[in-house]
Amino acid sequence: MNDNFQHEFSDELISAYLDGELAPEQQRRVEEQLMDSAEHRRQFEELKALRRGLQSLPQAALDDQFAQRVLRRAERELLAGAEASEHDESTVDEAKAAAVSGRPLIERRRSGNERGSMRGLIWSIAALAAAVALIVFGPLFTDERQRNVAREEPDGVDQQESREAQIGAPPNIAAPFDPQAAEKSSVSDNAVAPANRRAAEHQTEARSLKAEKTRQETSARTGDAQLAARPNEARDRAERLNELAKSRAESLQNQQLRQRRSFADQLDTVDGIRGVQPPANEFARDRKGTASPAHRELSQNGAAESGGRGSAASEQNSAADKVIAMARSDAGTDNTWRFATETMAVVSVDVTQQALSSRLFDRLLVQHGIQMETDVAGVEKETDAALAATEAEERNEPAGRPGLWGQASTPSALKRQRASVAANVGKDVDVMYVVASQAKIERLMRDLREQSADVLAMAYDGPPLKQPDKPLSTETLGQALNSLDAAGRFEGAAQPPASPSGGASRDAEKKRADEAAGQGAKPGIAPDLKREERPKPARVAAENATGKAGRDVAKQEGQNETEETRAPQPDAVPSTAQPVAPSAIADSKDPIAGGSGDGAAQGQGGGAALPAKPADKDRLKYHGGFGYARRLSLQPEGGGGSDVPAAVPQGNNKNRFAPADAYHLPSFGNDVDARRKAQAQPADDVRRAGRRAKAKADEQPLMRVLFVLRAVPATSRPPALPESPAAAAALRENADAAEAPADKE
Amino acid sequence: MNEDAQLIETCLCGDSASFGQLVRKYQDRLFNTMCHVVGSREEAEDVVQEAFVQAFVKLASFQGNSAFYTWLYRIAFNTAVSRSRRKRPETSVDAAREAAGEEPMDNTEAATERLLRQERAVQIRQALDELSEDHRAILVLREMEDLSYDEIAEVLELPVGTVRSRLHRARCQMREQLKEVLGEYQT
Repeated sequence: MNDNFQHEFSDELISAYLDGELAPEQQRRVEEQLMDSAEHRRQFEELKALRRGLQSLPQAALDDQFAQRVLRRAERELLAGAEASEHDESTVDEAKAAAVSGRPLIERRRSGNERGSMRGLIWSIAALAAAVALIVFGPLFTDERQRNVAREEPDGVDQQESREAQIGAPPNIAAPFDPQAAEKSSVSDNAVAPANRRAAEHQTEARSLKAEKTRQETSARTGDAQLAARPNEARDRAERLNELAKSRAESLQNQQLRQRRSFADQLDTVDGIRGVQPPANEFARDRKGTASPAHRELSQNGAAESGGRGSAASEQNSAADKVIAMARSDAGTDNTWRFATETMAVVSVDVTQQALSSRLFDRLLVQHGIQMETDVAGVEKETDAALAATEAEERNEPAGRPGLWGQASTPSALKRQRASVAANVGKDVDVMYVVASQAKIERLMRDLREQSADVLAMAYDGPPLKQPDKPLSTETLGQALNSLDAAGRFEGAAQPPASPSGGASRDAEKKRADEAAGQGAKPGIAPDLKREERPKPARVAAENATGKAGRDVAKQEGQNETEETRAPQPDAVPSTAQPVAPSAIADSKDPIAGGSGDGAAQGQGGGAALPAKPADKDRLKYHGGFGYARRLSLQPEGGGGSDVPAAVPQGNNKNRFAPADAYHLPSFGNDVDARRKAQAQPADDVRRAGRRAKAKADEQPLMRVLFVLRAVPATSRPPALPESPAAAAALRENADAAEAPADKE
Repeated sequence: MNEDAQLIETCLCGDSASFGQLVRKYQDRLFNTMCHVVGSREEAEDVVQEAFVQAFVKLASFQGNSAFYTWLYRIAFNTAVSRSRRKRPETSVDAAREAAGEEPMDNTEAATERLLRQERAVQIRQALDELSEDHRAILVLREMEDLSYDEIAEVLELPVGTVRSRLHRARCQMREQLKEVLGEYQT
């Protein structure tokens, strides 16, 4: 037994000796033992080998994200612990109480539940009593208050204002959000049982009713002096609420004003459209003194110009003003519309009544390949019955509220006001929402400006226009087309001889053009490729147009065909829709690029139908002809029941109003390198190069423009518009110089 | 004030990122230990994560009387014990072989030598699994974590004498089971 104990003791000492955990004396004894005993030395070696074996085990490691996971979970645990802390505290308290009383915790919990049920019963009775009190004393209390207010405030206007202020004041103005208070509230809400909470609310309400009743009795006893004080309090409260309502209305107005200012400020930087005057009146009018000096001058000039138009013109301006104001004031009601106002330009056009009724603008849209999406009847649908219905609805509305129009109005009044505006719109104002490329918009505005007989003035308000890309040379265009012919992209086309690029091939090209002239073909395009097979969106409208407009249409169509319809296959044929400057094409002698545009337009077989309207999903792929317009009725739907103008795209149309980045004109742009590569590469490479070029061309998105056409009497024609902003500035300087001596005098 | 104490103080002031540094500092070490203790990588990772979470939640209760990692190991071992009581760890030879296969490869080593070493590792793991939880924990803390008897006693909340005796018994048991293998490690 002693040997065993000694043996075991020695082994443990050896183990401790290995770990260096022995006292010096024990250590000396173990060393002596190891010196003397081979068995102990063997054990010692085995323990060392075991240590080495254990330490040779492979080491594992955790990934780098482990710490992040731990922190996330730890924070969650911490938050969950905070929510449950109150419950835990109650549990701990119960446990302590159980320990003190000696009763089991389960028993105490059972008794606690019984007590809770008794407490709930008491609260339920209290709630019932409060409800009875509310039913009994509520009407009396309300009548008494109304009588008091009426006695102390004989002025009906003040009374109405105070009531409106009380009703119209937003409930969330009172105090800023306090997260700590909210957290405490939520914690306490979680801690209190719902039934108890409801009972507590009822009890609080009953107490307040009781206190109010006591106050009434006290005031009745103490006489008129104290009674007179309460209406004053009510009046003060009403005034405070009224101030809050006014401040809210002012903030709304300021917000609208800021939006208008941002548009007008952008106008200061616009110089992309030459010959287009800044707004004559509208957009700078509400800017007051905060507008930039340049814009103030322009506004003054515009006012001077429009001064001779008479009251009729002012009324039309006012109507258009309201249309635009309506469009912008509702910016906050719908995300899509808000976006549209941020990126949409507004072009205000003064036209003659005849031009407006003859739908001149519609024809121009068709000529430019901008198709009419819908033709909403608009204001004609606004009937007297709808107005009567809104009036009847208004009679049932007890109180008004500050509306979006910046003044207190009932919803029905708001609807009626909009209907009135819509009626004005239908008579003398036409509003068109146009989505097209910048090039098309510019051409459309240029054509509008050239309609000098019908278009009296035009103003652009919107984001700065991008400068057009460098014009594509006609030579490069011809090379690109030749390369495509050589690659056999035109089905059934006779393969023209491969012609080297550069001026050396120009003679050969012209010769082939002369040979093909009798067949209606152009150089670089196979003679048997019939132009009639390609869409000609401007053809019909051009033939229908008359006079100068018709000639312009025909000329424009030649350009359009050159720029757009020549390339019906977007993934293979480089388009020139965007980058080709019309002037460069028109001035060019190269027959490819439209130098013979008139001839081409007249000789390419009239009667071709308009291109089929592409489906929505294919709209983005529709090459060269993309663009659409929508006539806005600005009439509330359903007889004025909608708060959102009909102009606001909704429902399935939302995709048409997607962010501007979603709409890119599928054009090859002006990537000369891609075209050169395409010239020397087979068809697949051409297609790839085309896709790369298209990606570069995506830099120019479509534009959204709201065209506001206002009918102005022909007698109020303003003076001739200067052709450029520089000329306008010169005119203003002259006018200032002329006015300066008069001011000094 | 050592680095751990500074990080803890910063964390208690609201900077949880400093606790992230503590996690990164001790995660692998604790994970290795737990791998040997619980016998499963997944289980060990869960234990380590839970231990760190508990340490974060209860960091304010850490008084600094001991080292942070000792306190952390205590939490981890308690977590491992409570988890093992709920669910017995499933350790198999295949799992041990798989774990042994994670050892960094030495390309200069002969294939047979590598296989032999892996086989020895598997046997050592099997021997470890044969130990009771208390013995295994003490052995791992001593042999792999190189903790002193006092630290082991603090982590496992045992008297130092108990630690020494249990460690000795664990070593004896391992020595008996690995008699043939240990010859390979004797130099």
